[in-house]
Amino acid sequence: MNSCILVVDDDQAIVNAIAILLEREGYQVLRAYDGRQALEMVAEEQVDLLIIDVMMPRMDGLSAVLRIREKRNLPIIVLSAKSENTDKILGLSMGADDYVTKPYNPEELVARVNSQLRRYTQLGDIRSRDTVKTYCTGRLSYNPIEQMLLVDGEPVHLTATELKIIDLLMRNLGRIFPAEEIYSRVWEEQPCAPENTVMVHIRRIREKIELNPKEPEYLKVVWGVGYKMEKVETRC
Amino acid sequence: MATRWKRWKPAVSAAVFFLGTSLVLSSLLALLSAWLRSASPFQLSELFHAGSVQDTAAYRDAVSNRLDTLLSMGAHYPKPVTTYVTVSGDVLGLGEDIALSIQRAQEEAADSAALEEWAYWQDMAETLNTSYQDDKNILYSVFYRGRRIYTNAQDLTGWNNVLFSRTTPFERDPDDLPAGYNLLITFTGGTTIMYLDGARCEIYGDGFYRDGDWRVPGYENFTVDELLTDNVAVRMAVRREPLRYLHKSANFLSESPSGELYELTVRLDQDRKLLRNRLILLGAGALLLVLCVLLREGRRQAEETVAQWTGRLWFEGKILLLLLLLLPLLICLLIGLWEDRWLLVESALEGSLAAGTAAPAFQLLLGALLYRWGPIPQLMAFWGIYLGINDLRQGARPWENSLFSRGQMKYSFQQRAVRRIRLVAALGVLPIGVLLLGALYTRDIRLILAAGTAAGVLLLLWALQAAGERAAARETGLLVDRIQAVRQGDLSGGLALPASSELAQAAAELMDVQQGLKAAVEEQIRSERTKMELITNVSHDLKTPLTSIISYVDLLKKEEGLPLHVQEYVQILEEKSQRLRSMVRDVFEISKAASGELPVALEVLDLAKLLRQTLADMEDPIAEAPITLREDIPDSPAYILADGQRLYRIFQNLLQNALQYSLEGSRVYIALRTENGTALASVRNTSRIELPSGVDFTERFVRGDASRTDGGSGLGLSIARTFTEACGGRFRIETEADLFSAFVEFPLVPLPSSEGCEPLQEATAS
Repeated sequence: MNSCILVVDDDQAIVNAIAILLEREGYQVLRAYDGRQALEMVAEEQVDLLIIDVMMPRMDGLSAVLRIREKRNLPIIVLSAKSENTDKILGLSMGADDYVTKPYNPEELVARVNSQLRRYTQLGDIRSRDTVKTYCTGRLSYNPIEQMLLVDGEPVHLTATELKIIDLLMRNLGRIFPAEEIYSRVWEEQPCAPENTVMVHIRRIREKIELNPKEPEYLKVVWGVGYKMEKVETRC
Repeated sequence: MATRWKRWKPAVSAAVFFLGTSLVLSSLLALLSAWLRSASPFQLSELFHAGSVQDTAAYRDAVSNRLDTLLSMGAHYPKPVTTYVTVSGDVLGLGEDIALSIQRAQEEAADSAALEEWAYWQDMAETLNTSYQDDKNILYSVFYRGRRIYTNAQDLTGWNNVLFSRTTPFERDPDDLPAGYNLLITFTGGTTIMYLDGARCEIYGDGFYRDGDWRVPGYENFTVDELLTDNVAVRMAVRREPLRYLHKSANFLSESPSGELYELTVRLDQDRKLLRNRLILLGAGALLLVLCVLLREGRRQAEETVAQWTGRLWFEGKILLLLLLLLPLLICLLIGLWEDRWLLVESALEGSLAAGTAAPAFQLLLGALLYRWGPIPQLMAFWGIYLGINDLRQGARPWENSLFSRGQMKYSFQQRAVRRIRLVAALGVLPIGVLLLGALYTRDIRLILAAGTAAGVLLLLWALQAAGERAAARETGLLVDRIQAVRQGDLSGGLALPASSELAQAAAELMDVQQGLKAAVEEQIRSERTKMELITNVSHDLKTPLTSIISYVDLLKKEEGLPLHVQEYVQILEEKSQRLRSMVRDVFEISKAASGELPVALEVLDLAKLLRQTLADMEDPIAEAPITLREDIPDSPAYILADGQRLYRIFQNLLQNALQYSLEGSRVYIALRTENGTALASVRNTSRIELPSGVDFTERFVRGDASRTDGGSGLGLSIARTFTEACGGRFRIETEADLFSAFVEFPLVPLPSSEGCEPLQEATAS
C-alpha cells in the first residue's frame, strides 16, 4: 500500500508542485492550507508523513507540529523560508524530524521523504533484532563486525578505502580528524598531499550517504582543522 | 507582629548573648580567682553546707589557737628561778624536745639575756590576758599547779564563779555551762577533753593528728612538755553564737581586739551570700546562653551587622580600639606583678631549683589578674578580642582597609597618594616622638599631659587628613573606572558619590553622559532590529514565489515529449532561477552582516590547512576552468582565530571569482605568508577583461564587467570582505593593470595546546 503524505502550505502553488512531485514517486498526497486544517486532517485520515510550512494563517506550522506530536508519532518535515540556524534548531526541538529550507531542491525533498518513511517503517525492526554494538548517527548505522554501513536501514556499497574511512569516523563520532591522521591510519603510510586524496574519498562517500552532497549533514569538513562524522541524535 | 519580631530579633539576640556571656564569664572568673587566691578562710563544702560556724575548720583552728595561746601563757607563769627555767620562747613551740629545753635553760640560766626574754614572754602573757578580758565569746581560766592565774570570767556571777574559781576544776559536770555557751574544753594532764552540747567529743580518733582534726595537744604525734603536763591546766567555754563585744573606756569606744570568732561568723555569712550571688548570676548567664542557642540565627545576623560597622573602621583605628580595650587588663597585670614582686622573685629563685614551689606565687598572680577591679578589665578584653575575631571572620583581610594600604589602589595617582600618606606619617613620627620623650624626661606631669594631648591632636589631624586624601583617591579611581567602563560599552553601571565629595559633580555629569549614550545606543539597537525584521520579511517574501518557480521549472524539466526548443527555454529558466536563488541567499547574508547580526563562532584553526581543504573541495571546478592554479602554501601551520565556515566561504568566493573572470590559459596564484605575527593569504589572477580603475570592487553589486551579463551576483567580494571583518581580519583588493589581487589578513595566535585532535567548538553554520 502506498504511503499517504499530507502537504501543508498557505501557497497553493507550492502545495500542488510538491503533490505532483510526490505523486510521481507513487505516494498518495493530501493537501491542507493552514495549521488548523492540517490538525483536522491528521486526526481524520491515515497520514504517514507530514510536510508543513511554518508561516501560515490561522495556526502556524510549529504550533501545529507541537499539537500533532502530543497525539501521533509520524515523521514530520518542516519546510520553511527561514534559513537561520536558530530557526532550524527551534523547528527540530518542537518535534520536527527534518528541516528543509525554501526554495527547496526537488530531488532532495523526495530523498528526505523516502528516508524518513524508510526509517519509520523498516528501521525499527532492524534495530530491535540487533544485539551487536552498532554506531548510529541520524540516518546512518554502522556495524563494525559485519563492516556494513546502513543508510535508512539499507546497506551501502563502499570500496575498501571508503570503508576504512567510515570505520574510523563512525567509531569516533563527533571527533575531528586532521587529513594527515586519516591518511596515515587508512593508507598506513606517510601522508603525502593528504588533503586532496582524503577530500576525493570524502566526496565519493558523501555521494553515497548524503541526501544533498553539496550541503552535507553527516560527513563534514571542519575548516582549517580536519574532518568529522557529525553526531546526530537518533529518534527511535 | 512577626515582622516586628524579625526586625528586633538580631538586636535582642545580641543583647542576650552579651549579657549571658558577660554574666557567665564574670561569675566564673570571680569563683576561679577566689579559689586561686584562697580568698575565703572556709572550704567550698563548708560554704555550701548549711551548718553553723562551729562546723568549720576555720572555727576549730581559731579555738585551737586560743587554747594554744592560753597554754603558752600558763607555761610562762612562774618567775624564773636560778636553777629551774625554760626558754621555750616560741608560743607554738610545744613540740620541742623537753630534755633539750631544760638543758639549754640550765646552761643559759646565768645568762641575763635569757632572763630578759623570760620576762618579755610573761609581759606578753599579761597583755594577752588583758586584751582577752572583753571578748566573752571564749571564757577561760588558766591554772598553774591548781591555782588560777589568768581568767576573763572573774566578773561573771553564778556558776562561773564556782567553776572558774575552783583550783581543781577538772571533774565538773559539762552540762553546767553559762547560757549561750555550748562548747567546753578542758586541758589537764596533757590531754584535752571536749564537750559539745553536753556530749563528750571523741577528738582523738585513732590517736594521731591529721589535717582537719582539732589541733589540740594529746595526740600520739602531738605531745606536750612535761612542764605543761605537770603544772598547767586550762578550761575554756565557747559561745554557741559568737557576739561582738564592745568596751567603753574613759576616752573612747573600742571594739574588743580579739573578736576573731565573731569575725569568723560574720565572714562565713558574707562568703555564703557572695557564693550564692555568684552562682545565681552564673545560672542566669547559663540560661541566657541556652536561649542564645535558640536565637543563633538572629545572633549571626547581629554579628554580621556588627562586622559591617567594624569593617568601616580603618585598620589603625581597630588596633587602637583593641589596645584601649586590652589596656585595663594590662594595667591589672602590671599592678599584680608589682604587688607580688618579692614573692615572685623569691619563687623564681626557688623555682630554678624546684618548679613546684613557684606555683603558689603564680597562682596568686593569676588570681589577681583574673579578678581585679571586678570583672570589668577581663570583660573589656574578652569583648575586644571577640569583636576582633568577628571582624576577621566576616570581613576578609581587614588590614587592607588601612590608611597605608595599597590594596585597592590600582591607578598610579592612587599609589602616589598612598606614598604621600606614608611619607607624612614617617616624617611625623620623629617630631612627635621627640616631643613625648622630652616631656617624659622632665618628669613634669603637666608637661607630659600637654605633650600627650598635643601628640594626640596631631595624630588625629593626620589621620583625618590621610583619610580625606584616601577617600579622594578612591573616588577618583571609581570615576576613572566608570569612564573606562563607559568607553568599553558598559552603560548600565551607576556611580553614586556622596554629595560631600569634591567629585560628586563630575560623577553626576558622567552619569548624564552615560544616560545620553545609553538612549542613543538603545535607539540604534531598535532601528537595527527593525531593519533586521525587514530583511527577514523581504527575504521570505522573495523566497516564496521563488520556491514555486523552481518547483514548476523542475516539473516542467521532467515533462516528457517537449519540443527541443521548449526544452532549451526550460534550461534557461532553470539556470536563471538558480541564480536568483543564490542572489537572494547572498543578499540576505550580506544584509545581516551589514547590520551586525552575522553570528560568528570563532575558534583556533590552521589557515594553511583551510586553504588546502578549500582547494581540495573545489578540485572539480578548478580542473574544468581554462586556467592553471599555482599554490604556494607552507607546510607549517598558521594558527588564527576565525570562523571556519565563514572563512571557507571567503576563499570559495575568491577562487570562484578568479576562475570566472581569469583570462583563458592564464595562471591563478594562491599563496600564504606568515610574517610579523600575521598570516596573509592572497589570491591573484589576470583579468579577462580590462579592469576599470578607481572602483571599489567590494562595494555591493560592483563588477568588473559593467554589462552584468555573467553569472555572478556581484556580491562575492562584498561577502568576502564582510565575512573577513566579522571574523576580525582585514580584507584588501589591489589592481594593477589587469592583475587582480585579493588579500585576507589575520593575526596569528599561539599554538593551541591540543593540536586539533580533540573536538573543537563546532562550527555553527552547516
